[in-house]
Amino acid sequence: MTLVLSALVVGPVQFDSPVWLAIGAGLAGVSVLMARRSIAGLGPVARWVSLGARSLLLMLLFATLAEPQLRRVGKDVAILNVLDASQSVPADLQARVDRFLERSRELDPRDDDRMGTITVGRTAIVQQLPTKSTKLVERQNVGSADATNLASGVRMALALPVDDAARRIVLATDGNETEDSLILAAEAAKAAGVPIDVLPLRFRYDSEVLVDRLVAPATARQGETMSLRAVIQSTKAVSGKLVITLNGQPIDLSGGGAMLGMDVELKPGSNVFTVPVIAPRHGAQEFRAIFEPRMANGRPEGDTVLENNVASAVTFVSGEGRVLVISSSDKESAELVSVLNKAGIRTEEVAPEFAPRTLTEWSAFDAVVLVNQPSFNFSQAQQEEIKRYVQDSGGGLVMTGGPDSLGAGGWIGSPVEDALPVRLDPPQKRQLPKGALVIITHSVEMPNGVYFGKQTAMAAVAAMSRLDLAGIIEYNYNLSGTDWAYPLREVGDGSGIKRAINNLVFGDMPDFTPVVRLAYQGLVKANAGQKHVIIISDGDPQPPPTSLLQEYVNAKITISTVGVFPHSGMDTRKMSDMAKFTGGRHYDVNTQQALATLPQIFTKEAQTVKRPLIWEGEPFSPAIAGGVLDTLRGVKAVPPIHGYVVAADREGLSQVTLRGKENDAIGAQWQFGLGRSIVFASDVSSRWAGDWLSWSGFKGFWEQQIRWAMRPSSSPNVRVTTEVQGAQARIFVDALDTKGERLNFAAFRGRIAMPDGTSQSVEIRQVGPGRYEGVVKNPPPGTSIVGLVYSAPGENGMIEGSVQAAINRPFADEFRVLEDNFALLEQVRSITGGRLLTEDPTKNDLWSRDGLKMPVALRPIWSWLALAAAAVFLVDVGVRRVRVDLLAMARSLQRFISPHKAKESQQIDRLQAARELARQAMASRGDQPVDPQSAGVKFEAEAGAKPAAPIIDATRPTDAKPQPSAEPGKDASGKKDATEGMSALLKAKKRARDEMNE
Amino acid sequence: MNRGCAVPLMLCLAVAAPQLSGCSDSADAKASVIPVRRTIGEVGISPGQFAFPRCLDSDHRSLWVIDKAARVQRLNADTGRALSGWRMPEFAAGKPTGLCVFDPTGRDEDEIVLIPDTHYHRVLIYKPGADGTSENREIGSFGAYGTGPGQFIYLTDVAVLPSADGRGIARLYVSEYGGNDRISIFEPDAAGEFRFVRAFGAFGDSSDAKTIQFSRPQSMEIDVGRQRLVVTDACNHRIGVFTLDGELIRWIPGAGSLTADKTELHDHSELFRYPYGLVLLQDGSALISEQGAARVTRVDLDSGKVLERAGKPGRGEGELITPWGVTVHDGDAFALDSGNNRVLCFPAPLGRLSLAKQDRAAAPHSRRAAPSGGQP
Repeated sequence: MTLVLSALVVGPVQFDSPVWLAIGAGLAGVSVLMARRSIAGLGPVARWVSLGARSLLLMLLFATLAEPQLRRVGKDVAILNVLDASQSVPADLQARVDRFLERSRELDPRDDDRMGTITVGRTAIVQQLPTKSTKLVERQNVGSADATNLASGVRMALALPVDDAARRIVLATDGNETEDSLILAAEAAKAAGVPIDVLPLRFRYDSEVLVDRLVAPATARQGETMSLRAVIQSTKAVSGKLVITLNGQPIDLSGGGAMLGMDVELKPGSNVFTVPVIAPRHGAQEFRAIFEPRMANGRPEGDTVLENNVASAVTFVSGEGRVLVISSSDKESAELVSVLNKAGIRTEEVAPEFAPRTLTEWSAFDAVVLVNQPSFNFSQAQQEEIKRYVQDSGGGLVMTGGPDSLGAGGWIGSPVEDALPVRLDPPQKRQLPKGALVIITHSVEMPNGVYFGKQTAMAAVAAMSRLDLAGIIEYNYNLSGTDWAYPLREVGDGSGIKRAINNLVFGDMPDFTPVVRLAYQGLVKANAGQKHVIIISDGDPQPPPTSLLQEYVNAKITISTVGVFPHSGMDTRKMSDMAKFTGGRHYDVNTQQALATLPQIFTKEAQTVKRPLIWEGEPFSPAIAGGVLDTLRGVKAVPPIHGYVVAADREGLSQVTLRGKENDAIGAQWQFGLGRSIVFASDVSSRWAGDWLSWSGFKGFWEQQIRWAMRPSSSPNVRVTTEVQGAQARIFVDALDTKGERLNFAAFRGRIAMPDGTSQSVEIRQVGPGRYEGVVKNPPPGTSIVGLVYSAPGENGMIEGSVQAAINRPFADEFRVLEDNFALLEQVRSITGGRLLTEDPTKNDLWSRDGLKMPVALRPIWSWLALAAAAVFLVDVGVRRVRVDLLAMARSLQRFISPHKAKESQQIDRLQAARELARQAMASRGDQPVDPQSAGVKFEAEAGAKPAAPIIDATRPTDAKPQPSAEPGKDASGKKDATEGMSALLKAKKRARDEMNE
Repeated sequence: MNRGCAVPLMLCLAVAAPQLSGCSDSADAKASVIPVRRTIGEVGISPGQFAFPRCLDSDHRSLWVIDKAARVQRLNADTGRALSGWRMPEFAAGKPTGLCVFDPTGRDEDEIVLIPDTHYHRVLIYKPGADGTSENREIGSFGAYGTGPGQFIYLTDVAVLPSADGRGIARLYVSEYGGNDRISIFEPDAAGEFRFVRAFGAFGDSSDAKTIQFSRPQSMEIDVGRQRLVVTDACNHRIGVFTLDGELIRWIPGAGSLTADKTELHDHSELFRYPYGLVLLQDGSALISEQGAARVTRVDLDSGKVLERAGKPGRGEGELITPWGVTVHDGDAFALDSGNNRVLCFPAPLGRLSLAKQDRAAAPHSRRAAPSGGQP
């Protein structure tokens, strides 16, 4: 018997409210005492039976109230491996762990035990659910390995479903966690009764060099000499080369020699090298310090981990602002660039393929102008950076129209659209021809194939307007096989089709024919101007018949095909032929790098159906809208345009400056985050705006537009420094006014753009005269860009400006560790009651039951006990109230079984009873022997006779029943005789009683 | 079929029909779940686990499975425990989509495994190793990329015609797709090497006996007693019955039953949807797995009538997702439930048609089943 918390366990039964049992036992005792008097009239056996039944009844009733449950204790064990797959654990150690676990599984003789595996990097990923047949350790995609979140792995191990098995966690790690808290997770494991066995992966880098940090001023003036400080840690004396790069190009540190780096000798401990560098040009300048160890026999001397040999820093150099114009053709942008140069705005013009790629590079410019640029000219990452450039770093964005721009350029749904002052979807009121697009998806057999497949479909759909039609066809496992995952219908807000994309299964279709047929059937009925199909596949399904493709041609429906890792040239040709036949395009994606371009391909293809967004017709002059604006100062009217891309007003603070047909927004502007953006929906070339080129106000118009969008000039008197302190970074601002006095009461608006693509606001508070400070928690490794816009009261009104800085965390903390953290693992083991494992599987029985809390399955059984109580209650009542004549029961049973025999038996019984009565009567008269012949004579007491023995109680029932008379006449007399006999017996009885009393 | 053999066959069918499923009373009854006896395998990479298995066959004592992790596994048919196995020598370009275990005598020593190495355009022939090992011996291979004689695009299956003594290979049939949809016949020469004899079929959907066309002939079986080759023409949703020399006996369903777009049949009771797996039963009927309809169907190859049918799409017990293969072993039938990473075992209507117990065709050359060394 055991007591589990408040429950009482008796054998296989657990009572959750055992207090009822005690009450029941007490009441049973009382009941017994009370029942002794009430059942005194019963025979001894019946008395004890009654007492027992009543006691049992009470016990059962109270046991029912005690919430009884049947316990079934599990016998199996599930081992959940939590494996550290971060980069701090050497690869050979990870392989050894896998072998250890697999060998341990082999040694486990119990087939019903289970094993599951979770890997831990930045996040925890389940590699194998715990199953009986898992014998090998599986590591597929372990995710990002530049951080270690052991706590998430332990929590996931606690959350995984393991039925009827005790859980044990095996944690194989070096103990160097970079995120979350393993101790907290261990406490949760302890609370759940799950021990964590630790397999420490011991290592220590005796020879290691790491570039701890590169310190550069956050801001500098152009031409200023800055001092870069590279801090390098080393475990031993090592020689090597220090290389400093500026924006990727090595700086000559050798004094004009052939070698650009600087030979350095490191001593054990911290080494600081100072390098003077002249701030080269305006904008963000990225420096890197790289330590190159000397090589010996192909291996680095004195260094083990090379990933931590790089540190970076960014300095923002103030100077004259610059504007970047991105254009695919000189003809498109020549006039614009010309007028900007004439206006004294420093302008650089580049083709889209040379556009900046990082936020740091974008931030070097005060404004960016996209001249008739389609979205597919920019990667998804670049589009994200453009948005952050405006929102977080305060840059200006100007997008001019053209047949490949705005909504017609696939920008709908892109991150850049968020930054624009118009919505690129056409307004609801416009009756534009719709586009119709069908996407056909097929099994994408490559790493992360499903992920990329969904991303591409998302990109295509996102580029469509809400009135366009889109549908998705896939080959699924349902009976239909080929089916619409999303029927061809209006995109709307896109939520429905995006849900469908997330549910795509990317089945392995054997044949293109049914899907191509289904797409045709959908498109041919669609009310749309442009109809297009995109097929993504590895190309191995059977090709559709030419007759079907001819139907496409007849219906002016095009097919573009994207061959992703086709198995052979035959597959490529098959897909290419489909595209060529119908007038579409074919794309081959054969490398992992090319996979990243898939969304761009789909966006470009989706653009095929976006042509209706372009308005072209009789020239007209857009109307000037809005009030007095800086961008339209002095502009009374504008020349006519011949075309533009239709866009809709954006709600909020956007201001439309020019309006076109049906009140369409031709020009608009707004503030987005720290920056500003402008849209001009017509173009800046002779295609649509030929009259503008000869317009006298052309230069003034565009100069005002660009200057309004450009980032406010940064004051050299406002300097920003940043400092990383443990898990947080601090931003310090020292502000002076034009006279060199401390600038107080300035209001700062700040945003920080992280290298992982996220951004957040940062609060800057004044902490002293002219001194301001802000804190950023947990900035990720890499360069984070801080953008600050400020305004402060000055003598001549408000002083406004902007300033930028960078926070540098050179590499992940993962690479800072030089040895394992065994102490943490020992602590975790101690908290959870786990064991310290060694790498010898024969010395560690992972599946040992010791210290495990075996799972218990509980099944309520109160209903059984209630039924039993009801049965005992009947017994109790029966014993008290019902006399059981076993003989009569036997006879009844006999009669039931054999009616004839029973009848005979009855007669004999009657005769025997009568004889017995007679014999007793005779004996009472004088002990005369009974004449057997007279046994059948009915006994009748004589009047006045004195019985010597107690008179037989005539009221006692006898089994002898009166026989029905065969003759009706005799019936009455027989009855009378019986009555008389009875009264005589009663009289005799009375006499006997009287005599006894006397 | 002559009347003499029709009568016993009909009797066999009548007896066997109720065993497959609860829908056996009529062929066009709605699909039901498969009456599963047991389930073998689960997702994973350990022995006995699968990563999208696509090939299934059986021998005298075990099941054979190849999955998309390119692992060839021999499994205990009762417990599912892995007995032995190995990984394909190359698999970056793709994994096999077919498997043929030639088990002429029911003894391990005579057994060979022929694998159509789909994306490497060749047939690999193995002698399996002992249980508990990953040993194997590649005893031959043939084939190269191309559309010429003896060349392949994407191989799908291999069928073996045994030699007269039952222990050797008289002829090999190799099916392929990828625009070169056909069946090539090879025979061993005196040196034991397989020589291309001829090929029949081309890509298309013709039902004409004179212009045999296939669209992905996915699997093949040989009925030695009846001297015929049975082929599942997967993307044309039909089964072809041929003589051993490649002459068409009949298509099932016959010509004219397919609509133009190949997605529907005029007679839905006879519908096959991507028949992928195939095994012949003792009465000459065929058990097929329909990859596109998630079911197992038994069909009379003489009348074309669907005798029994079970299975429906899903992940529950008795349900299937894209079943690629089917086989019969020791009174049990096995459906390769590829999408669910498992093999479903259910009562077999009849035993598998045995190569060893039938009349065998005489062949000009024959090659022993398991020669030691030598390039076939």
